[in-house]
Amino acid sequence: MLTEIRGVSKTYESDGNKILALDNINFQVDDNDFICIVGPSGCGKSTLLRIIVGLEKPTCGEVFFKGEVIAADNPKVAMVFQNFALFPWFTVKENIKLALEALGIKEKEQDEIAGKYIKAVGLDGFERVYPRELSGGMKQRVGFARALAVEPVLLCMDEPFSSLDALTSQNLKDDLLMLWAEKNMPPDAVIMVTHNVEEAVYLANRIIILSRRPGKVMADLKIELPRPRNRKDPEFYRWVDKVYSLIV
Amino acid sequence: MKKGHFILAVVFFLIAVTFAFYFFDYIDFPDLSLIPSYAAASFLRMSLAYFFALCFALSYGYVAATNKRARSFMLPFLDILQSIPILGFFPAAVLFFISHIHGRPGVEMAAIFLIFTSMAWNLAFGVYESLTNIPKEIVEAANSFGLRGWQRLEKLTIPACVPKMVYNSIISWSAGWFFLVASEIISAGSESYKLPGIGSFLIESTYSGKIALMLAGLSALIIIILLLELFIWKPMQSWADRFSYDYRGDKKPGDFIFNTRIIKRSFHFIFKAFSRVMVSLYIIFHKNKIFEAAAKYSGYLTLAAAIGYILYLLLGSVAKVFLDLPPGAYSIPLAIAYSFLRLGAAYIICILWTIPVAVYIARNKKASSYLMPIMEVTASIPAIALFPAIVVIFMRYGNLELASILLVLLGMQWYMLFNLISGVKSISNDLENVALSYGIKGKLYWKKVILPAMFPSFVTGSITAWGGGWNTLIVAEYITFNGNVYHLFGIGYLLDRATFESPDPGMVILSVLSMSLTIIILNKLIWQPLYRKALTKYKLEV
Repeated sequence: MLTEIRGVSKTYESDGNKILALDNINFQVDDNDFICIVGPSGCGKSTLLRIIVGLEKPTCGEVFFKGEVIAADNPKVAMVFQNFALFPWFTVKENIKLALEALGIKEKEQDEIAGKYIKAVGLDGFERVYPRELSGGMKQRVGFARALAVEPVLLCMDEPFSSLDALTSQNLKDDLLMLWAEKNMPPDAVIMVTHNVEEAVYLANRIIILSRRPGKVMADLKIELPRPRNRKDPEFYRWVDKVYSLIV
Repeated sequence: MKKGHFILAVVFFLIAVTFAFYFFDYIDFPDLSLIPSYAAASFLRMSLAYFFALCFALSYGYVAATNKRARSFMLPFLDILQSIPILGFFPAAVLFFISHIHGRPGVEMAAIFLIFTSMAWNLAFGVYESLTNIPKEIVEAANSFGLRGWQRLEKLTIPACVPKMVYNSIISWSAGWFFLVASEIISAGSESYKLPGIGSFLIESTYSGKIALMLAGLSALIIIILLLELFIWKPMQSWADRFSYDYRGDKKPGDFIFNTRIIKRSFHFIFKAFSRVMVSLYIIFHKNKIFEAAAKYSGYLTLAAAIGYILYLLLGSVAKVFLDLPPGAYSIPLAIAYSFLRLGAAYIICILWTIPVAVYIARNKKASSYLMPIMEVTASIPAIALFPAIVVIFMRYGNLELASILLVLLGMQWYMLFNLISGVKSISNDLENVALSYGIKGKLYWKKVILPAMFPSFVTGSITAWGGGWNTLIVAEYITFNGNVYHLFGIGYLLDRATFESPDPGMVILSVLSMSLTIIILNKLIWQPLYRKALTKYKLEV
């Protein structure tokens, strides 16, 4: 067991009113889990993910990573952001090295690791380019490389494909699955938040469905579809329909 | 027409004119050779003030952005400082500094202090806004890598300030030029407080009747400002582009006529060095806990001491003033009324010409392509530098009233014009098309489309224009020419007279306070309600 989410609730306060966003969430994440968290908009998916990586504190409950309470700067947990969160004043390579530098890794080693992951996501030749000069899909590739470079055990992604166009995001998903299939590449488990059910069925081997606010775990499904998956497969559509029926 | 080309053309023209003057013996060489040293003195004053303003802004903005408790009083304080007519305080500052440090160094410090106050507040707001507007995701990314301490400072905090600081530095410098020239001109009114500089050069050559020499000095000032624009600010803006979050990639069309790579490289080098210095300072402070504690408390202590001292001086003198009103005190309300009428006259002329011109420029692409560079270059000349020229023209016809209204107009009009142009440009194509397809034109079009669309920028333009106007007034009501003092009755005259002619600190304090009070009341009663209305009713949704 990698991560345990135990009794997590989150309450917001606005204008003196308390709003319950997440209500007693419990589940565990194991090695080789590729979890997609889906749910209607405003159900607290992103908040849950931020609590899992330690960027936000839950109001009640706790998140344990390898038996310890999670801290935001745990290098074994990495995050990919919806709008890439690249530092505009650093080049592609400098953006990736930044995470390594914070870990106190030596300059030479930083260069090697960064180079390796730039290659892995197919960005060779763009090392010295600034983010503004890249297309959306390439920016998110940098986001992936940066997250993988710290060689995390758990990779968390917050709607990583939703600000990309359909074609670009499909390419990126396939590349991601290829990296995921490779055994000697990090991470051991992935948690991804999405509102796109088809995307979830295509990528995940486990889907967690959250209810409308306050978010509760409505279902925790194992997706037993062989890979590579085919979108036109009737079996694929049965899974998509099943997830839809659970959301609505 | 590229602005860069136009700037170069103007620079060459001005140099040519100066040489022509020299060639035809309108100017003597010894006089002309004074210009470089005078210009250097002015530039040094500006640079020193900018350096202090930058240091102040970085620390003030950083503390305000990171310390919640400090923010609650630091922001309102900054807001008040920003709305005060700075030039009114120059006489007070001169009296304050020379009572502590005698002679020229005291006046020198007063001038640098004045320029500092015209630069610092806007920069401090820039730091504060940059630090509070870092996108949430970037902050989260930094948190998730565990960026903290000096690494966070170097990788996130300092770079995040760059774009706004560059933009605000340009504004600060153009305000700074105005106050530099103003302080030199004002102090030139009194022989003992004279400051050598391009401003005093202008006014002295005018007083001694050397008009060609004055024009040469004016050319020198304009050339300095234009060259700074061409070789510092433009390349710096394009260098700073990489620090902005808007990374959608649509680059602004370049306005360069040179290959600016070397300049940009050196900016980067300077920036890295600066950033290193800040980081080392940070490390030194944090390694030694004593330093940290000292820094923490010494900050509060010096602040408390400074505020206490100023309050002591202020309250002491105010109490004295009110117990024993200076003889001129009763003329203050009337003086303010006179000055107000002068500003009002200039404001009306300003509205009358800027509205039609703004609409014409904004709606006519061809006209704007060659008029905008001309307007921008003209606007970059600090209005006050034209003061001596105006004096010469109007003294000949003996009408000081017209001269001062014209000068105030010069101090007002550009704020108005540029704000209005951007207001008209904010009318979207969709709205234009709607108007076109429903046959809304002529008078109806002006009444229902253009004027409402301009309203918000009209209000912001008016607020800044009146601010500029009050500042210009201090210079415009008190003129020494050919050894004679000419004056117009008004608050600026009372201030200048109480500083330089017959020093009277009580009168200076009373005048400054009543002027500030008038401005604050005007803001509260007229501009703020209009501004609120502009924001709620007339804002064009983007």
